Amino acid sequence: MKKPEIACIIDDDKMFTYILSKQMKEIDFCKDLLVFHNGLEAINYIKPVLESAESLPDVILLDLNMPVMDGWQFLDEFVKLKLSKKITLYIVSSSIDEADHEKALSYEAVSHFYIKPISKENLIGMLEEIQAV
Amino acid sequence: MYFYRINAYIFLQLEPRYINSIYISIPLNQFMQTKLELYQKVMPLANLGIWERNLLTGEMYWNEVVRKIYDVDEDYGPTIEGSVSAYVDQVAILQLIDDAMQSHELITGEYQIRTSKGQLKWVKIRVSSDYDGNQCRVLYGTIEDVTEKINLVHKLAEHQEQFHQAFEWAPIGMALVSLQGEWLRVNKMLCQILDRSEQELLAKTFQEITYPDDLELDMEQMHDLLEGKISSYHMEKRYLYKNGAVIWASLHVTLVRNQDGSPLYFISQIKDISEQKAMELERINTLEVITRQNERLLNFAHIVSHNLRSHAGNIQMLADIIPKESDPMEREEMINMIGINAANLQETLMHLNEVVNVHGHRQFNVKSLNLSKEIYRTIATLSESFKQAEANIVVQQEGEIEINYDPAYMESILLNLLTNSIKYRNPDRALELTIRITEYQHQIILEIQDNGLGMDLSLHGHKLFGMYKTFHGNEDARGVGLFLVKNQVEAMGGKISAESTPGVGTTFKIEFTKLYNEKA
Repeated sequence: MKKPEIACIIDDDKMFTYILSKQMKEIDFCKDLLVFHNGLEAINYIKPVLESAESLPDVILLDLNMPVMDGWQFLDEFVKLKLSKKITLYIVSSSIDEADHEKALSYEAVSHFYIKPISKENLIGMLEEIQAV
Repeated sequence: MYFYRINAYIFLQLEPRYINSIYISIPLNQFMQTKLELYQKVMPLANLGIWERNLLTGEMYWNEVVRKIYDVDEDYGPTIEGSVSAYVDQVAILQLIDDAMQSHELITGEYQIRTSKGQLKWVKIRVSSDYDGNQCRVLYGTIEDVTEKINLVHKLAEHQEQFHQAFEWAPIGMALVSLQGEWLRVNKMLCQILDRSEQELLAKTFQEITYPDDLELDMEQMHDLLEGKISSYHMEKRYLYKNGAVIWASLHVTLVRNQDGSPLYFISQIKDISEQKAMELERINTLEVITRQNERLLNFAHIVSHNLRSHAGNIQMLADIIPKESDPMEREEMINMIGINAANLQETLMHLNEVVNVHGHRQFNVKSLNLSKEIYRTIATLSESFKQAEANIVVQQEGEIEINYDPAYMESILLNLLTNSIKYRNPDRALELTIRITEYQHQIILEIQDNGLGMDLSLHGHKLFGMYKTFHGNEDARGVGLFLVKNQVEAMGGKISAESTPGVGTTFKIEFTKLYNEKA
């Protein structure tokens, strides 16, 4: 697989999304980047475009602690969706709680749990994993 | 012809007026003779001693049973002195004889004798007298060995006394209770436990002084006991003092039946376990407090882990990319961001400090507050915001309600909850706010009901009062208010809960503990 066309960040911390998008740009992580500030915004985007694979993100970086719809609620909605293409999903959270890690990895859809801060190396690791599939 | 001769002796101790009677011999016809023989044969069978004494001649007759009782030979010539001297209490026996001679009636008595062989026996004596005019002529009667019976009676009395003593002075409450539940007998300890006099208790049934909630189980088991399904029962139950206060007791009940098996009465043993119960309650309360503290600690650890780390993480990421940034404008922007992040970090630390302070300070500045006055003052503080929200506020309460509370906490609680009602109002309609204050037992309940946005508590309920949990995506939501309110309410022994329906509104309910002062 080639590198992702569309990446998606779901995180309410605007500072973090700004910095992360900078880093992504630097290593040319993807062509297009979608940023949502809670799970609901992301679901509202994804649901109408389920059938059009070209609009769906290839990779999602999901925070856990968010208002309105948090990462867990998003995951519960996400796994119900009938996706027309493979979406790789990473949790990117500052939680170092073991219980959160175990719970996250119990979702088949979750590929990896990254603890903030995210380094350039982390992003390169993600790219390699996506391209290896 | 047969003469029944009565051996008689003069009874010297008697007063002289009884002594000058005439000697008689009684001629007996054939029928009487047969009867006499029968009589003499039968008396030994019944172990009945018969005797007679002629007061004129001093003659005395004993049958063989009397001799056996006194342990003397057949040839022993009975004398009044001899027989009286056998009595342990000679004054009493002389008194009996005296009474018999004067009363014209049958006199009976039970006395202890020492036989010629030195054996102690109890005898029952019946004495009657014959008169010649006013003068007593003959004394006669029966004597019976009742040692076994008397010993039995004494033993029984002893047992009864032992039971009485054991019952009366038992260190636990004891009672005999009728099949209908009336107290038949109660001991001192029971009176003490139930704080009533014996008369007061005997005038009541146990049902009347049982805490209503515990009556059914007691009655059920009592029924099973009566039906023979169980042989005894034990339960922990509550009784009521005269003033209505509750006392915890451990009750053990058995049933006494008569020989044919029909129930007679219950024996109840009652122990005061109020102290144990209080300790148990204390233990449960302590456990609750510890559990709550533990939860807070976990929450706190989570906050530290999540919120401090996210700021620190951002700073670290910025530090990583700033050196690589070639555009000076972008660099400056990023350096600015480090400053903002540092400020956020500082703010989070401040919030954490606030929370720690809530639980760190055990000494509250408790004052008597008029709750509705506090509410009106908070409304006044927020009047500008309420005006913008076109708020209609109703405060309902029954009379003036005073509460002992820390004024700073009260202000924080009211300000946070009322501010929330403004922040999360439904923009499509005017804000309707109903504030209710009610008193219930040892609690003052404050309800704040709005018609705002509401939320789905099945989704957010578990984290409604968590720190940095925000739900509506409002720009100014910091996720600190409710967390702080919950901590302040709980620190002073209260509880907070919420009910909410999306699109309808939210009701916050706080249960303040009135007894806070007494507990602290």
